[in-house]
Amino acid sequence: MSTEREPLLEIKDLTIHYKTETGIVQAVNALNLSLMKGESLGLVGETGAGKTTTALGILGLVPDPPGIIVGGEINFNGRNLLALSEAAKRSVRGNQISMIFQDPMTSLNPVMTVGAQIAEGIRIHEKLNRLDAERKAIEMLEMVGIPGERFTEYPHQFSGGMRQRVVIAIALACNPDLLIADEPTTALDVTIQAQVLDLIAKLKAEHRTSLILITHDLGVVAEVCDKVAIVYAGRVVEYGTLDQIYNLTRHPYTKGLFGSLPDVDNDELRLQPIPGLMPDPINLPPGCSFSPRCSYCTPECTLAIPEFVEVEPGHLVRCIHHEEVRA
Amino acid sequence: MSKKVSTGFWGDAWRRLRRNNVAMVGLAILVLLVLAALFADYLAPYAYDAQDYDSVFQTSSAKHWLGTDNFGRDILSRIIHGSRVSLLVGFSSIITAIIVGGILGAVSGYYSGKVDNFIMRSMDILMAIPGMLLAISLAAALKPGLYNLVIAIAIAEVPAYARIVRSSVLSIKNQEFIEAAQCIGASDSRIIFRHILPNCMAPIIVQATLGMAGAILSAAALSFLGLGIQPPTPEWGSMLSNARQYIRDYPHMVMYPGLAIMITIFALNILGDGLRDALDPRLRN
Repeated sequence: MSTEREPLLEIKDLTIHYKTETGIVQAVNALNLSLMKGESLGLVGETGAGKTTTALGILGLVPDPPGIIVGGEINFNGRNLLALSEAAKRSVRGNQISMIFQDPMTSLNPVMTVGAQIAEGIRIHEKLNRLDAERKAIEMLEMVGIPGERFTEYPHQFSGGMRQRVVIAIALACNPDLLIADEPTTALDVTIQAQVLDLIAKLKAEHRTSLILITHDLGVVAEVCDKVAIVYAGRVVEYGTLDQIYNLTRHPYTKGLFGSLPDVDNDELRLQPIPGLMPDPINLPPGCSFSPRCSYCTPECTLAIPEFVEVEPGHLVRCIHHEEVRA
Repeated sequence: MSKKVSTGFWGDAWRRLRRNNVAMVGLAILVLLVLAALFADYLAPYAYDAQDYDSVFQTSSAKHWLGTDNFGRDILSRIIHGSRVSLLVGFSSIITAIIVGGILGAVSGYYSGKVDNFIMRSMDILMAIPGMLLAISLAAALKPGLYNLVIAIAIAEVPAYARIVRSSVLSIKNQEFIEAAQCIGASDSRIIFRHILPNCMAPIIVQATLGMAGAILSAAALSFLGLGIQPPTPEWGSMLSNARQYIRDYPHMVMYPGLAIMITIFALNILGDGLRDALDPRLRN
């Protein structure tokens, strides 16, 4: 749990659309989030819920075209990132905010040594000469548990788990305030997943880095995060502490996510998946986007997008039936 | 295990190239040719324009190793001097074409949209004209001479490189490691030159070795037409065309300049293959 009460990152009404030939894809719709210093936030949602787009939005890397940031604010350390110039954004990227990608097989440059790739960020942001940057890169490599001698090797000489360590070393090389990890363990096998998560958690604690962990794996979130935001169709539908989300679930979607997980204690023959599919982001249903799949749905649900209700301190829900969900 | 030092991208490529014997033979031949070109004045037994009407059309002898031509000029000396022009034109026109075409292609592929359209349509226009014809008209429009020959050949070669680089950039720029590079705050130029271009070196280098062979032949052809190097400066192509009319009776006159061209192009090709392998760390180590 964090002790500092100063928000490091505050996203207000962030809206990002993609213009495509078939229509406007509403990837992120008035998304609100806040993250304290040193805290870990789990951003959970299905594929296509807008998690990665949000992360790219924070980094100012939404591909344009087709992406357009329609509105909102991303306040980071008191500055609105969306208002910064391209050069200023570059000096934030990698230095104050950095990102770990999903697939370590493709997120490293195949023709550069891992050492050079770690050193690159250091050289861009810290104005060190080559030798000093390399020395620091070797330190980073050893910090993530790879012998420094492997500095001159190429990515293809490393295994998947090792490569993800290299990616982590690159991301942490400039000691960022915020680390965004976009499904960092999806491409790894289960034993390596645990190692990589432990490493992220350990380094995060050592460096007092805040973390946004993007995932669809609630188990991973439970291991690493303090706060959880459940994202559905580009909106945060429930936000709270780990305990609030896992034990005092208030949103039908969150409940559905837990219902579709296998439980070791109960011998269930069938899982209970959420019926239906994610709505087409080009034609979102009116009102609550989850209403077509929701068993609590009443006619009022389709009238307006439900407001965020604070059901208890720090626990926000976008559902008019949140009382019934708890019951 | 030998001790490995951090030598960077090119250092490692050189380490791998050194282990490839065939490529090293190619490199050795090219180095010899370059040395011959540089020190032609000291190496050549005779001056390239020294005529000797008492010994025309001679075949190989101790006095003239590769024989003499229709003016009694020593063929070996002319080939050694001719390597200057051929190599110079080959290297400099291809390097010019790679730089210009590479930058145009990289910018075009990386930024896409209107910039891409403008650049690539201009390249299409250039490509629509047959390369040789374009080089001939350019060489004719500019005054004949070494530099204009280089410019004419380079312009004709530019679109090929622009296209190759553009297509490589297009296939590479959407890969995750480019996004990762953006995430650490790398600038566009850094991404293009440090991340994208090294990844598309292989096709550029293969094209460059073939293109250089082609450029040497183009230079020869232009010289043959009188648009390139002016006599009496020796040039392999013009030696060939000059010898063409004596091919029936004195085949050695065509054979030796032809061999010179062949060996050069052969060396360039095997070196190119070796470089392609050396520059791709996935292929060998």
